Amino acid sequence: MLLLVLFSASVATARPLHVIQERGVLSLCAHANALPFASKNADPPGFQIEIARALARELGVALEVEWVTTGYQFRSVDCDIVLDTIGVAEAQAERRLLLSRPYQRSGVGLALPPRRADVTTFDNLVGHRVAVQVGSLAAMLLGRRGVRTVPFGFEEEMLDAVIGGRVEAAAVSPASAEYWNAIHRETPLRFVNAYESEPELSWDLTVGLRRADGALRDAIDRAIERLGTEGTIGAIYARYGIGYRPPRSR
Amino acid sequence: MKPIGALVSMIGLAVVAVGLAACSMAQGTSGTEAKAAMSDTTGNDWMTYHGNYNSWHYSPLSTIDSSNVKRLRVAWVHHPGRSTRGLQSMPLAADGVLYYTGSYSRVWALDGVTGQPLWSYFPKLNDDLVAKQTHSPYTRGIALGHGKIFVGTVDGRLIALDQKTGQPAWDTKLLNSEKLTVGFTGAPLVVKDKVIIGSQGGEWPWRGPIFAVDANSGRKLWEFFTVAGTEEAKKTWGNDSWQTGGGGGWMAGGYDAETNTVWWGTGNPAPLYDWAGADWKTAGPRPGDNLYTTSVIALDPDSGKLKFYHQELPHDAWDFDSAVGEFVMIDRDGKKLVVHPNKGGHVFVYDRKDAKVVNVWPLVKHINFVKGIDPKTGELIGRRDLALGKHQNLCPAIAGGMSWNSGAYSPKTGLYYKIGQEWCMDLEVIKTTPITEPQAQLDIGANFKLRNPEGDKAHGHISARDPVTGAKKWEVMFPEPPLASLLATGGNLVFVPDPRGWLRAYNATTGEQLWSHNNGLGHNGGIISYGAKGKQYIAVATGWGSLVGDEFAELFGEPFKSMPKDSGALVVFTVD
Repeated sequence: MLLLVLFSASVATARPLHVIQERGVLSLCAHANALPFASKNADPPGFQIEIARALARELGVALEVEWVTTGYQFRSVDCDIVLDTIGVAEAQAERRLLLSRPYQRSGVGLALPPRRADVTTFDNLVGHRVAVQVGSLAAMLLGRRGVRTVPFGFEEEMLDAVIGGRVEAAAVSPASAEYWNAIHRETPLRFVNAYESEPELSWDLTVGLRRADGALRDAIDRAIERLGTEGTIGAIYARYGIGYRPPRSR
Repeated sequence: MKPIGALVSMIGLAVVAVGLAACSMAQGTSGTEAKAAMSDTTGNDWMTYHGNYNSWHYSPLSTIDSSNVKRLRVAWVHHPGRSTRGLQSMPLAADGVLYYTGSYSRVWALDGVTGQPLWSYFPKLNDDLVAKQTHSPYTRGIALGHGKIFVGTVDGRLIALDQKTGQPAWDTKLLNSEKLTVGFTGAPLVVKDKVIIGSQGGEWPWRGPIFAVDANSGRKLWEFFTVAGTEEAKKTWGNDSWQTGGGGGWMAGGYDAETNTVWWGTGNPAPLYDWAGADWKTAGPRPGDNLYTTSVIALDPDSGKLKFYHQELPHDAWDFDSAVGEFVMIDRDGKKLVVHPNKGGHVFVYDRKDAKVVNVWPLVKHINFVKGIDPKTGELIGRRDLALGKHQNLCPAIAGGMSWNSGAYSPKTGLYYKIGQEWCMDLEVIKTTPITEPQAQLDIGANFKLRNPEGDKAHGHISARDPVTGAKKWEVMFPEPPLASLLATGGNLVFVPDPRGWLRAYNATTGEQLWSHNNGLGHNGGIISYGAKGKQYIAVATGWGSLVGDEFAELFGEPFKSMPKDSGALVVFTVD
């Protein structure tokens, strides 16, 4: 089955800060059913929605959410921002996203059964079965090191496989693992920030800006700084059981 | 340059089936499935996606022939409206009524003589889901049988409509499309008392099932996973990678009534790009052959059990599905054969009793993903496996040496008519932006850029060949590859709908062009011939906008840059 999506046909026209202010709306691209990240129907609606609302408030405009499933749809729905954009320029060049200042540290960590206190790095799992997201960079890097990577489509399924003993660990995001523990208090997992010793699996999260001008980026940067300093971002993450991790870069 | 990567999702759901207007007419065709089984029909009807179980895309009707085809004129036109991504479907005809489906699984029954609508049915789809799908909202065909019309939906349902009234008879949810984002776009196939339909699959992290549903009740009877559908096949997916293996069977297959065997082609494995390179047997994201992806499989329609198979491309690393194309059943020198094109540009010829390879021949010139394929065994020679990094001039391009539309076979000439696509691509397997929920991991994807083959220009051709040996009788070149199905007729004609909007008729024996007409929009769907009230008709779907067609603007410029992708019509021709 062919999957081709055209990105190069046109350069998007700019939607600078003054246009957003005139419209009175900042639009966010988010997934409709992906808690703790975002949800169309759940309450609370996911930390991406809450952070975006706070950003819009800082800009003095309302938030409008465009529900998408894949990054391919960013252009077709014409949103202004995408949250949790990985702050790796090499990976984002294709999307032509401007990156804001970072607001959270993240990467690919390890979710383990609580009894596995002996595991602190990915290298401890060479030769063992570790759940990975299909097609992910983590799958490739760990596979090359001799970890027996078992692919899954969804992080929730990976964590469930750890609980069920079908794999010995799961290579997942901190947000997914910590949210799992928040809603499955009877079956908690041990989460290790294994990405901290893995440059290719660790990154800061930024706001991806589509078609922005420098003024919009500056305004978003100032908003992130304020929301981080006053504790708003940390409080939002806390509602989902997720820790606030200050970014490494600026 | 275009990124590609693994794709998963979960979306909310709301599915309500709503039947629409019903009118009179359309004789219920009891025993239509029996008609479909006939290899030699009267020619008035076109009963299955591929015409009949022989998959010839051939009408024995001969009223329109080389002597009068110049007088072919438009009899009527039907506009379905809301034709997002064009009109990609193959119409069917029975007892003077023409049935077809447009985007969003909308179905029409039309008077075959006048085009007067008899009934229509617009299913209520999960709009939130449909708006987010990439391989959507086209529907490529329907099936007829047991007095019903059967249509799949992109939100994972198979629906039966009363053939006379268009009222829903049943509506069966088969796939969790809200989680997987994919559903059904291909036509179902009626076999005895069952309706068989294959799901989309390919890059999506599931197991690409093919289903059989009871034609009368809508009850699911069996499900065969094209990914690791047997315990033996699971062993060909290292590290349980079958869990996210892709596959699927997204185009209608064929049926050999003599051996009671359903033939189906399967999709490519996931993830598409395998950074293991030459070490794919033991390393990478899906170590092993990855059965039964990119294969032809033979299923027992009564049990859903696998009878035999042939994997055309073990461990497909190029997105060259076997899901494309037809299963052309022909008898030659006492042998019962089936001819099946593979997207990579080779045509496979099998023995119908066991899928043993009889011959393999290349339809297109520019192939370098393998150095060759052994014509006696089907074994790949000199694979070009892809690792992380840049790869230049891989041929054919990801759009394939052949696309999903069907060729045609004429028993009068003994020739097989098929479109070939000559193009290549540069690609780079890269780290790319995550596109998966929860959007917090980096993916491995690839950037593609379609290009001219070295020393040549990208183009297409129609050739007339011996279906068993591949020997070429004639060939017509096109500046861009046609992307629609072909039709052969008893009037010794071959009809070719082209991407610029021209429908042309050729002498089936010589390749001489005899007639042409501009329909005003590119063709990217089906074409049939049927008879009603003593006259022969040619019906062709117009409308541009498939995923492969999307590439034409960048590669070929106009008229594709300005060609609408949300329009289409069914245009019907006859001779007075």
